[in-house]
Formats: sequence, structure tokens, C-alpha cells
Amino acid sequence: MVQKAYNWNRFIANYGLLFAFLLAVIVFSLWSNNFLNWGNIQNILIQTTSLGVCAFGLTLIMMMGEIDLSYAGLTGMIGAVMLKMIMAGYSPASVVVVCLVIGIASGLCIALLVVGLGMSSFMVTLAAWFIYMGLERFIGHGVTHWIYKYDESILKIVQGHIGPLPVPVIIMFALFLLCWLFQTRTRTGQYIVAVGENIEAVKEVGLKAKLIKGATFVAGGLIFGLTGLIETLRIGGSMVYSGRFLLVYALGAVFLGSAAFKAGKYNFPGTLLGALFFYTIINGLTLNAVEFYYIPLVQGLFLILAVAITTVKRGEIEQVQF
Amino acid sequence: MNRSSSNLKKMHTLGKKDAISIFLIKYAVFVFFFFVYLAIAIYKPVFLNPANLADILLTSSLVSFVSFGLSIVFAAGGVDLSFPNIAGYGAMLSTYLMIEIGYPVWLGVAAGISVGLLIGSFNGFMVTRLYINSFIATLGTLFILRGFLYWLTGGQSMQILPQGFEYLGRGTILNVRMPVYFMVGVFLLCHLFMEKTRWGRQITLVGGNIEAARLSGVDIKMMTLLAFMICGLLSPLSGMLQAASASAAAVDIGDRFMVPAFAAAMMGTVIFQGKHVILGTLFGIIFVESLNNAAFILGVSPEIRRVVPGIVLLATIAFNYYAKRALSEKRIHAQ
Repeated sequence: MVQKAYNWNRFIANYGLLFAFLLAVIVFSLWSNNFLNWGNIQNILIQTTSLGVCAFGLTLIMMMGEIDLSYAGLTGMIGAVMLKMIMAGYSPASVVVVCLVIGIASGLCIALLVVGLGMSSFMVTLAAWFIYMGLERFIGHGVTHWIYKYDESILKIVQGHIGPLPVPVIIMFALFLLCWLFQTRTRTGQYIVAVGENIEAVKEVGLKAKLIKGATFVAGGLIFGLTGLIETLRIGGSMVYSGRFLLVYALGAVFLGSAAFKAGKYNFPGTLLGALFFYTIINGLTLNAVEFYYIPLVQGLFLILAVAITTVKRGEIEQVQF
Repeated sequence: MNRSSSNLKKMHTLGKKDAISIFLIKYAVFVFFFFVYLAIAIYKPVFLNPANLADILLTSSLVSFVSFGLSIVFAAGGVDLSFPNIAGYGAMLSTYLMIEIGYPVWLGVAAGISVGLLIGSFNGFMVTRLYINSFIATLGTLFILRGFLYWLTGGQSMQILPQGFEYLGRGTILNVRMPVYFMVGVFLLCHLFMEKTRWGRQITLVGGNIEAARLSGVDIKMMTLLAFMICGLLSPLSGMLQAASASAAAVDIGDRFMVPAFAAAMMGTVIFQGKHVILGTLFGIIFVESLNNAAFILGVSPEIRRVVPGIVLLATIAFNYYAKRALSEKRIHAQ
């Protein structure tokens, strides 16, 4: 009997989010006729791309027990750099390369400070977020520029379709598969989780925990660089602080995801579902002409609810390490 | 064997030198402050003009309330990210009540402060009862409040504020603006609270060593909740005084507090190695605002000036790590 009850609880814990997602889909499709249009579904998928990509990077870093908030500023800063380069007439390929290199460089700096000097990843990346926000203003002067006015060729990256799916969506799913397979099927991927769960044991076994951590931060930086690229192309220009909204969404998606499939643990399928869930809700509310100011309200509530599901049973206050 | 005996010898020989280096590490920040101020003053003597110093004090005083609140939350081992929007919400609500509903000034201010207290309690509730990491919980609050702010005002700013309310921000006594007096008053209250009362010390203990706090019978949940409530209580003051001194309140009025307050509170936590946080925060605020002011005098572009507090924050954290490591090494040797 006890065993049965336990399994039932675990089933709810693992698949509760999936049912909530399906429920939201059903409610919205009854509420408005256009919700299940292929066009609208494509819309949701495209909107999810930058969040999804960003959240995968964050999942990777949170798996090893650290956090990285730099993406909230990095996305906007990369947007500003991209626009500067496009306006100066650089080729699309060089723009893409520079974005990714900025991401890697950011990841390297954070890895040096956090892994090399042993500083708290929360505080370092928080400061990085603030600094990137300042740099974004410095580079872009806080002016919104639209890409199509200068160079349309780079926009083709996001406007193209492969089969029925738009290219950004394919990038997101490809990255998802890559991360998921890497984490579950390769030894290095398993080490990352091991570092998060018991770093002492990893060191005892003779693995280079520091190297694994540093490499993960760099990989995260690369993914955040990609996020900045996709987000700027998706918007079609550089907007002030465009990465700011990602801060909450990505954390929310990762936490929601940790309440799905493998309850209590960060996992990529959960993150993907969490990201889709976020935009489904926003899209559903927008379709039904809900006032714009309810959206941050709903987002905040969702974030808190998503985290509370996993933490409410903990029974201990979690303090922040400085 | 060999190594430990040489260590033993070292322990005896080190002493005076150690004391000096501990002193240097402890007060390096002040030496640094001194040289920075000296450099600015030599390069631009205008910096030391009484009018300019008064301006620094005024801008410091506006940020000071959120910074004190934040440093108390830091002391309790938490983080509050929602303070910019608590400040904004307090300011918008109080001005809305005074202009649109016709509340008297004192009632509007009281309403602003109480709503801050309410939001702080909500933050504390999430951290202590739902066990959400304080960073995530207050990030959620930040967004919920933003939604509420637009809902309340429709994104419009409040322009013509009541005379009595403006006096709180623009009035002067002995040529010093009112917010400076409020800063001194709140500083004294917070300082005495953290240093002299049992609750203040218990909050510090909870953040410093939660296990020790638990073993000595401190009500950890209550103290954490209290810290968040104080931060909620103090934050609207910054928003309201900002509105009163600028004679206008906008939805994003609190946003400019975010980075300076973080830098100041972090410095406050670090300067005296986790002790006297309120005094340290006061130093931090004045330092951050002086740098900002100096950058302005030196003609640095506003875009670069935005990066300065972030870099101060990062430098403070880095310094914290070195000081901690160096001090713990020295102490081990000295024992």
C-alpha cells in the first residue's frame, strides 16, 4: 500500500507539469479559435527559441550547482555589438563569429573568477550582468536600430524554413538534442551532474573538477552568445535591455523543468517543456487581449509557483552564498 | 614532521608583522578611499566645493534607505532583488493616493510605507515558509510588482505633487536638504538596531553562521522574515523622497537604485568583515555616489558612468575574497 502511494506521488511529481501544459493548451484552444492554428503554433515556437536556447545553457550550469546570470546583460550587449557591426557593413558570417566569441570570452572570464579564484558564482555573474548592461548602453547609446535598414542578408538566417519548421526552431531543437544526448549519454556529461551533486567525491575519484566546471561555464557562455544572436535576429534589431526579460523567463523555465520528468533535478526535457509552457501562457493571454500589464504579473507568479513546487517540502531556508 | 616544526618556529617569530598586515588588510578599503578622493580632489578641486559635497550627500541620501534595507537582508543571509520596485510602488501609490484620491500627505506617506512593509512580509513569507531561495522569490516579486505598477497607473507619471510632500524632498534646514536628515535618522536607527538590540545581533548571527544560530536557539525563520520586512519598510522611503525631490513620480522611478544600492550594500558587508554593516553601507553609498559625481565632473560620458557601480561591485567582491583568505591564513599562523 505504502509503496503504491509513493509511486502515485512520484508520478504526479514527474508528469504534473506535462498535464498542466496540456491543460493550458486545452483551455486556450477553447478560449480562442486561433490558438491551435499552425501559424500561431509556429509563432509560439519561434518566440520560445531564444528562451529555450538560453535556458539550456542555464540548465547546464545549474546542473553543476552553480548559477550564471550574465545572460541577462550579455544578450542585450551582443545585440548592440551586432548592430554596430552590421551598420559598419561587416559580413553576416563575421557577425555570427564575433557574437559567439564574445559569449566564449564572457564564459572564460566568469570561469576564471569563479573556478580560478573561488568567488561566488551568484555575485560574480550578478556584477557581470550589471556591467554588461552598462556596456550595452555604452556601445549602443540606448538607441533602437532595426537591422533591415542596413543589411537584410543576415535576417535570412531566421526567416528561412527547413521543411515546415522555421530555422530558429530547428536550431533550438538541435541544441536541445545535443545537450540532452551529451548530458545523458556521454561520460563528460555525467561528470557535470556529479560535480553538482558531490564535488568532493568527484575530486576523490581523481577527476579534474575544476576543469569540468570551467569548461561548463565556457560552454554556457557560448550558448548565451548564441542566445544573443538569435534574440537580436528574432526581434530584427537591438532594443535597450532586450535580455532583461530573459532573466526571469530562463530561471522560471529551468525551475519549472526541474519539477518535471525527473522531479527535483534539472533536466533538459523539463527545461524545454518549461520554456514552451511560458510562451504558451503568454501567447494564450495575448490572443485573448488580456492587458499587457498582467503579463509580468503572471510571469512572476509562475516563477514563484514553479519554484515553490520543488522547495516547499524542503523544510530549510536556503541562504545565498556571497 | 619537518614542516610542522618549521611552522611552529614561524608562529613564534611572527607577531608584530602579522598585526600590521592584518591591520592593512582590514583597513585597505579606507586607504583606497583616501587615495581615490585625494586623486579626484587634486585633479578637479571643484569636487571639494561645499555645493558639490552637498549634492553628493543628497544623491547618497536618496539611495541610502534601500541600501540599508538591502544590507540588513544581506546580513541575514538573503538577497532582495525586488527593492527597486518596492521603492517605485511605494512612491507611485503614495502620490496616486495624494493626487487622485486627495489623501493628506502624512496618510499618503504612511500608505506607501505600509505597502512596502506588506511586500517585504510577502518576500519573507516565501523565503521562510515556502523555502524558496530568496533570490528567486524576490525576482518573482519584482515582476509581480511591475505588473501592479502598470495596472495602478497605466504607465502614466505623476506630475504635480502636493506642496507638503515636495517639502520632504526639496525643503532645507540650515541649507541642508531634508532627505539628508532622514538619512542620518534612519542610519542611526538601523545602526543601533543592528548593533545594540537582540534582534539585530540575531539577524547578523543567522547570516554569519546559521548552524550556530540554530544551536543557540535563535528563531531563524523569524529573524529572516524580520530582515525582509525591514527592507520592505525602508525601500519606499527612497522612492518617495526621489519623487519628492524631483517633483515627479514615474513607474520606473526605482530602477536607478538597483546597481548603486547593490554595490553599496555589498561594500557595507565587506568593509568591516561582516560587522557594523550599516556603518559600512553608509561608507559604501557615499563612495559609490562620489565616484559617480567625480565621473560627472571629469566629463565621463553617461554611458560609461553606468558601468562604474557594477565594476565597484565586482571589485568589492574580489577584495572580499582576498581579505577573507589572507585573514584566515594569518589567523591560523598567529594562533
